[in-house]
Amino acid sequence: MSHDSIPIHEQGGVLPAGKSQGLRRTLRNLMFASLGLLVALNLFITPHDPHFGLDQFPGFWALFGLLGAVVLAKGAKGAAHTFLGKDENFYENRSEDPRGQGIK
Amino acid sequence: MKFDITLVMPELGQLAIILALFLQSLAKPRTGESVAAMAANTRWVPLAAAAGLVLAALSLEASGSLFWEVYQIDGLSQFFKFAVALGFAIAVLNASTQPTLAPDQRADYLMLLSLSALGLMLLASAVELITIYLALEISSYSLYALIPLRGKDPRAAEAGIKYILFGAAATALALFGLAFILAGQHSSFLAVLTGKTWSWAGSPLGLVGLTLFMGGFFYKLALFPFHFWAPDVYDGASNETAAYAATLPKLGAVVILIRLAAMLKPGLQVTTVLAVLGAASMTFGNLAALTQQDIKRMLGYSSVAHAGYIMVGLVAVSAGGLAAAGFYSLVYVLMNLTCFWVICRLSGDGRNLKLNDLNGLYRQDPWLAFVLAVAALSLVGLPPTAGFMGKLFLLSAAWNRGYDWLVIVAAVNTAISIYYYLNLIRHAYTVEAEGGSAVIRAGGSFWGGVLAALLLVLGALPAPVFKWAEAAGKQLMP
Amino acid sequence: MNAFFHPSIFFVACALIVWMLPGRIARWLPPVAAVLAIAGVLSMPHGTFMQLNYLGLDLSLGRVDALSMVFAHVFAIQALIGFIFALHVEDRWQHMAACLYIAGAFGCTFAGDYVTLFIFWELMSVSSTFLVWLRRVPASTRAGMRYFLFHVLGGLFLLAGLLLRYQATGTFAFEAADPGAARLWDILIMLGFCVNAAVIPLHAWLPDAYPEATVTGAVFMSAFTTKTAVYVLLRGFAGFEILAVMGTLMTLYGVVYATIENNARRILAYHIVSQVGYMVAGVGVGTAMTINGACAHAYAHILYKGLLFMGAGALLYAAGTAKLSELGGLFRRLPWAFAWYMVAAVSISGFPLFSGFISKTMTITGAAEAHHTWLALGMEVAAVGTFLSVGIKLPYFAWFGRPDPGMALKPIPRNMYAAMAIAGGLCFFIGVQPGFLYRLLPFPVEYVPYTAWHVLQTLLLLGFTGLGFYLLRLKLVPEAKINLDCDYFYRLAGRVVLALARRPVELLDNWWNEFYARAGLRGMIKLAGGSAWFDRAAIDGVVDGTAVNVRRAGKTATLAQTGQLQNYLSTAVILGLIVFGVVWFWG
Repeated sequence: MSHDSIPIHEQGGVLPAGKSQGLRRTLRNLMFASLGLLVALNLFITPHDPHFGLDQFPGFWALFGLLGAVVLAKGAKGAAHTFLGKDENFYENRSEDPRGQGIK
Repeated sequence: MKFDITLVMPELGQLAIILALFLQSLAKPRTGESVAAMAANTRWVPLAAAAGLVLAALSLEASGSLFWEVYQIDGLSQFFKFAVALGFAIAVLNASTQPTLAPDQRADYLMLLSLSALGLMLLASAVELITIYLALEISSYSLYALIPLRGKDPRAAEAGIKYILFGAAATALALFGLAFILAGQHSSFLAVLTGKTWSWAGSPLGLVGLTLFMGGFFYKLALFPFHFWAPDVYDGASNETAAYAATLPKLGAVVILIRLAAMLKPGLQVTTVLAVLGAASMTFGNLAALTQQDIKRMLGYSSVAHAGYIMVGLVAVSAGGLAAAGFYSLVYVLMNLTCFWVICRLSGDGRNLKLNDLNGLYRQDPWLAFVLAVAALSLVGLPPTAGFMGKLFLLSAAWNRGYDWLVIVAAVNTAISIYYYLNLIRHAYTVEAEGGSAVIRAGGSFWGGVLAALLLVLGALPAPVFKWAEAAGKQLMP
Repeated sequence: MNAFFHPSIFFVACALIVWMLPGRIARWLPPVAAVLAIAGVLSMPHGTFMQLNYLGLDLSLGRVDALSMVFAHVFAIQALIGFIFALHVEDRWQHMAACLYIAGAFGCTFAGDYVTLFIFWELMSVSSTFLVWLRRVPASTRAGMRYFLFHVLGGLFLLAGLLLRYQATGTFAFEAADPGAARLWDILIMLGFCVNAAVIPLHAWLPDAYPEATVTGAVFMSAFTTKTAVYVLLRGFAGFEILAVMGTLMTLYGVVYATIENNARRILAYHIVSQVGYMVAGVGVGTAMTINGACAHAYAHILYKGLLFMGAGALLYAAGTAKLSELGGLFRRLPWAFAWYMVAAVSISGFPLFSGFISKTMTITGAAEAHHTWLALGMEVAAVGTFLSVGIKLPYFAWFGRPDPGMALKPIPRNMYAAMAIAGGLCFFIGVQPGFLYRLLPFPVEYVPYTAWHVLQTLLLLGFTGLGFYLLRLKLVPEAKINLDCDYFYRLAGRVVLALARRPVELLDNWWNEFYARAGLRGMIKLAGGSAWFDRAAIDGVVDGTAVNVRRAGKTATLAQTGQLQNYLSTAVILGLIVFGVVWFWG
């Protein structure tokens, strides 16, 4: 079965139900907190040797990571859904092999 | 003329075998003698062939000339006589268990085989055109009679007819060419013809004659477009006969082409003809072999391709090139005989084998599968086998001699040929046999292993044999 | 003891002995050979050894210097880890193939001349093909065939290049080529190397074949083929600008495909393309720091990529599938596989305290300091993609993602866990003790990985990538599909060539029919001109790659064999006389 059929909030069920909701919220808050801490640190610790102009600004690399991930995921999946993704038996079906011997 | 008998020891040995077999074939079977006992009467022949091989080895250093200069013993002739003796010994060992022969035909069969080999030995030493023609006919006629000997199979008879008629037409062309050479160059001795011009401008009659004369040998070598008989004949003849016919006659053709090529220069029309036919042969042979299911037909087409490879050495027209052609033909005989060895062991009732009959071989007889694998890899030309060394010598001799395009075509064809040779290994190793498997005759493993070992050793240490071929080549082209 | 023992000797000997023994006993020998190889590598002095004269060529089998030592070092360690991982395999052919493959890799590393290199290169090609074929399923047989054909093509490029080079320069010595004065043979040799290094667009064999290899074979293959290619590129082509560009493109190409693939091992295979891109880019920039970076990255990559393949391989072994669309929620049942996989995942992403951090950032800093700013930026983007696909997406959908589908799991043998533990431990050790790796590098290292800024930047980059995944996790759900890659073009080219070849043949065929009908049935010699005789309609329409297309050409060629003697004779004589005539008149 594919993942799409199960709603996202019911996925990830490795923990017993009930506990999972609370634990998940805690983990999520922890994640946001640590990310915030890192950005705060970036205000104080800056590169000693910037590669180019922009990367000395605080928050640049955070934005780079986030945007990069988003653009990559959307772009790649976009390509996969339009022209790259094909059925699993794409090459076998294209071989026009009436006797079914192919290259074995 | 001084007749020094020590010069012709190998031929005399072969003649002795022929006479003994002749007498044996005349003898009436003793009443009550069983079939097996009659078959056993010819067990001595492989031993005698081995003795002949020793004789040939001992005569390697001989040199001289007989019969008023038409018969020359030099490095090249002794190399090829040794090769013929080696091939003959292996072929006879192979044929000693031929299942489709009637027991009273066995002595005749082996006699004709020996006669053909004698013809090839004579061909190696012949240096005058009419002598060459006679020796060619001796070796060919014996083979014509051998092809149909396959039980009562009508296909064998058909193959025999094709071989005879095609051969007759080809040798008729050769004779025609011989006449033109005599008319144009006024001599039939190769030593005299070496000094003549062979260009269209200089001697058109001679050129036409030489090309037509070579045509007869192209037929024997199964070079495109004179190859059409080869797949049908190998298919129709019995496995053991095909083993002989696919290998040894080529030695005879190659030695004569080497002698003729020594008269040429690169860039001449004749050399270009050799190059063009070689390229066409390689390509056609390899492409046609790709889809064959019958193993002997596939080997037939592959022999067409290998004839093309040998041409690469000949067009180089240098001592190294001719030596490479000679070395490759020896190696080719060995590789092909090894392949046929495995086929004959697998075909217990003498029938033609298809690729699917090889399925599951590595389970039934892993050693035989290994021997087949070595032979197949050698035919492709992968290191560390002898085939690789042979091809390396051929291609490096021909590079930068004006036929670089031919070398490139040869390299591309090697790549194409990988497919069908590896197909043999694939069927033997990765495909499982369904239902009944081929009947395997026992006892073939030892000699099969010896043949495979020979291929591997020649691949790792070709230097001694190649230096010897090179010395022969240098004698022809100082 | 300070002598030179070529490690390949141990592996070849091991392969021969393994051949004779049954699988149950034989499987214990390769780790022994690997230990001997490690001992040999550690005790080897620098210099040139084992120079012999073979067939008139001067071959040099043992060139030992800092560059080859780095690679030999990690090859030996990975050989041991891989063989421990494969200890449960009782198929002695797989062990033989792996031993010969590793022997080939060592041979290439120590080769001092191109002939030796070529021999070992081909040994690697053939033996790694068997690592694919020995999985013994139809998909593997097909993939292995394509893999082998492609590697033979790469080998032919190499052979052509080295022969041309010999013709022009008279030597086979394996030295660096001059980037400013590259000749045709340098390009050809570089192309041959690039095939093995999976440089785009010659890379399609890697994601095609690696997922179809055996569970243990893929671990070996992930390390040796591509890193040997990186080594030879370092040795021969450092400073070639084109490699810097192609390398950066590779890093991006690999992660894009890795993000959308479904088969876990295919994701990792595209990742190899990406990570090798870092190394190739390092080779291309060619400064001391980037070469150091490429070597360090190769060293670290072998260890953590091996561990990634071991993790995915363990999943495949246990669950029977590597497709993310069929896995999920296995954290409860396979916790240790997850743990060791994550060690490798954080290493590859470049988290501090693990090996990727000290190697990847060196390459990127080196590129930036050499003023290749766009390359450095591209590599940073690829780092984002790496963490996204391998570090988060793959483990999330394999071990979490949804409730456990409840499939039966084969128990994972202890030796696999032991191997993963060793590799994971090494990833961590190198991460916290960078000096261990840095002292092996060919140039002196001035780069300090653990500064506050480097750590912070990495954590920022990776942390916000994680945020991006969290926000987009619905979009990245794996689907059971394949993605087209450059092999589409290889297969297309085969069909085009066949179509082109058929047209003239069909024209000739029509002409011959008319001529034959008009002239009636005659046998013998006609000096009339051309004839076509490929008359039978093509029986099949099989098109499956170039090999099958050539096969069709072959079938067409056999149609000349009509079985009728008069056709043979007339064709032979006509063709023969045509060739003769053409050459006589115009030769």
